Amino acid sequence: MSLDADQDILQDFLVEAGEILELLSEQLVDLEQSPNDPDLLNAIFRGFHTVKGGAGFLQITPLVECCHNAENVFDTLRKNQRQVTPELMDTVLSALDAVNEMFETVRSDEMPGDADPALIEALAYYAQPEGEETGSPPNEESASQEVGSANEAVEAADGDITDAEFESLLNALSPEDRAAMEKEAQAPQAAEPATSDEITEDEFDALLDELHGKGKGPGVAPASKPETSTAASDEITEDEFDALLDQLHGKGKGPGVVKSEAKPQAKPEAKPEAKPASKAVATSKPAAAPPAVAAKPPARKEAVADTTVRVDTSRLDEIMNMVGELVLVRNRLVRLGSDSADAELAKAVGNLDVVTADLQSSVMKTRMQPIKKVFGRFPRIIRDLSRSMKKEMVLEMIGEDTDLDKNLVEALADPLVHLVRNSADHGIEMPDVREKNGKDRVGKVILSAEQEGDHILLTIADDGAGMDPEVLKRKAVEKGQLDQDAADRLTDQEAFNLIFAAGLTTKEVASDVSGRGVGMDVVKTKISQLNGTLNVWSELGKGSKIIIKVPLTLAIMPTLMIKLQDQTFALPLVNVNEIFQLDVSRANKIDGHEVIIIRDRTLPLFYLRRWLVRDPAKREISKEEMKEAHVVVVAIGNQQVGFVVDDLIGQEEVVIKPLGTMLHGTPGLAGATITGDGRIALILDIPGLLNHYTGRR
Amino acid sequence: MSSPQKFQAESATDLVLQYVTFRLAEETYGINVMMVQEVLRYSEIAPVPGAPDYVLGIINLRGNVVTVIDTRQRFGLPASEVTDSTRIMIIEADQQVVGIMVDSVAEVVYLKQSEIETAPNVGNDESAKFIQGVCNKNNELLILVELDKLMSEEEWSELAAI
Repeated sequence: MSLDADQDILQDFLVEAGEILELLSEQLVDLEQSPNDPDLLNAIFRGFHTVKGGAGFLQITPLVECCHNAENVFDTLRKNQRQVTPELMDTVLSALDAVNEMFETVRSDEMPGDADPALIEALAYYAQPEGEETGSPPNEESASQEVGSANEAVEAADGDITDAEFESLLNALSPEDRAAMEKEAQAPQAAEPATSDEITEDEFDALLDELHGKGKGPGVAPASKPETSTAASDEITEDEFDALLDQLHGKGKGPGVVKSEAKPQAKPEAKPEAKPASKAVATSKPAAAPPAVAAKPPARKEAVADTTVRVDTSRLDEIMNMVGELVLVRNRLVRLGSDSADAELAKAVGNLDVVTADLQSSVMKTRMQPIKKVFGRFPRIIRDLSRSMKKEMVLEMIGEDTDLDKNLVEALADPLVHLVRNSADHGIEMPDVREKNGKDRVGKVILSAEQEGDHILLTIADDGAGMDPEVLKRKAVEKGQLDQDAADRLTDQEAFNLIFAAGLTTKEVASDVSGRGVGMDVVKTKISQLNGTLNVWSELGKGSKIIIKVPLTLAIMPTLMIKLQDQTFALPLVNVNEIFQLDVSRANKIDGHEVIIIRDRTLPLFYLRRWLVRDPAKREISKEEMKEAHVVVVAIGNQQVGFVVDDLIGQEEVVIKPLGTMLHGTPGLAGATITGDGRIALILDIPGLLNHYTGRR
Repeated sequence: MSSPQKFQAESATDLVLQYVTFRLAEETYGINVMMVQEVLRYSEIAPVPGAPDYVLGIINLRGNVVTVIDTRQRFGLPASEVTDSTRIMIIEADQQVVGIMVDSVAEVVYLKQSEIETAPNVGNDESAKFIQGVCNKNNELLILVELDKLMSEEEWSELAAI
């Protein structure tokens, strides 16, 4: 069954709810660390509530039901009628999984199926105050049934909750809750007219009176402030109303909180609220400043509407492309300008140069996203792993605010998940073992990101068992990937790199988490696709560290331009180690391969012309050329090879143009680019090139 | 104009189509004008190592990289020298833009749907499969090319499998 909702509204919902769900998974894991944080509880409650609201509007009933029940659990929690237990967390987390699953279904424009009734029942069970449960989750009949019937009523009313329905829902729950819950009941009821139209002053006054009557003293005085502001503007938006309700819910925190919130509300139309917004975004960690938390969500909500615009990524790509074009034209003009004696022209070209550079960097910035987007999922992963593997570990994240290209953020997600799982599974030992070795019972996984020049360094470190280079060598020999002699010659560093070879695993038995020996190979491939490099460091008994280095952006790449016959090629500069001139006519031959010896290292030597020039007649290299050959030493992982090229042009930053669909996937080519003189240069993909033309890595 | 009278009954629904004609070896071919983006003079084509042999290489079309197909090779014709009249037609077929190199580009002709006949089943298989139909106009045979096939069916299925 497909959804017949308005596409615009649906898209808005998907984006907004998607962000909330991401945040929720972080907050839930935080909650386990600080189970009694009222602000966190409120934030989670609100998160579920907002998703429910959106889903209700789109009539996605299963989603509404699941969120509603989760919301009830947190309502009970934040009233201190129940404590956070691991079992409760498991249920809530699986509820979040269910919601995420439904969300994905909605994303593909289909109506999700009903949630697992057992899950809903469990949620309903936890929604009751402790000690007043009407039974244990499995055989708890009455309460869950009544909740069910209430939900049916909700369905009937197309997501709008009427008083009567809420009454019945309240009856289903404990009577003691009623007074408190009634406030809740008022919320949707009053919000309903607000969505359709504006709320009248009278209605609002009445509502305030009602809430004040139930609330305590301190809430009254500051609350009158927003009231006056409402009178002035004569209408109240839904957002403001939500904010107000949040305020009243949070009345326990005293007047200070309320006041801070009343301020942004006093002049809702006058200012775009840039200040509270930036503050809210900057300190998005909920636990950071408890008193400020209540004020944050509403302020942020307004700010999103006021100061930011959602832009389709394809449009950003388009702009990026055009800027790339501009850069090329500039390169061309700079070249022309340097030949001309006209001072005016030189000036104009110089100006253009500066402006283009600025434009390029600002467009680049629009595509930047904090790595937090990827990091955000790790607390949950570590939590789940430590529960399922009975290990004790904590995750420390450093530099979450480091920005990098959006495409990179997405592309890095999978490799990072894999590496973190590896650290947790292979690295961290069982608590008993750790104690025996004189370590803290709790293992530590550190995930850090930092910018270094035009690169990003990502480090995944653990204080676990570390890797034994001898074991790695033995495994590689057993698997037939290396012969004994070669294995013996490997340095420890080289031995660690064996983990990236396909099929190698140090685990005797593969688990569902890791150990099949394919993952690291995939990680390495993925990282090198991103023009990145991987380094492993490990010390037996102390832990391991994997360092990933990736460029800040994928759109522009520094390259070394070279010539083969009269065609230009670009080698990604990340791979280039050094360049020198050498008489290669006396190169040694080992096993049929030509090699050169540089500073006591033996490097295989390849003639790029033999591979990349189409006309066979032009492929051969004369003796004279060999006498003064240009050799470019490139590195792939820990391996180095030498490429003989005809001529070196120099270093140039290029914009990568994809080859058309027809040529996509041509071995050894990463794309093409247009050089300063308007000609085309092919960008080489060095690992692919070696793989294809030598049949090995 | 005598031939259209034969189809008078159908003429109400008879669509008029426009075709761009080009020459390859001694034959004249036509491509639906809606698929042709532009016609370029021959410019330097950068060869692409490792590409299929019917791909001549890539060109820079105002900042975009466009693949150029060797139409002669594709049609099973012998290669020829680039001359002053050699053109690259930029065509758009099935959402991809490619260039096809031809000996020369002639004109745009108007053809009625009814004038197009199915191709007689002659000639070698290599070229026959790209032919959509033929049209006899002014005593000259015009061969209408099926562009999607030019980019090879196998290629498409390969692409779909990725």
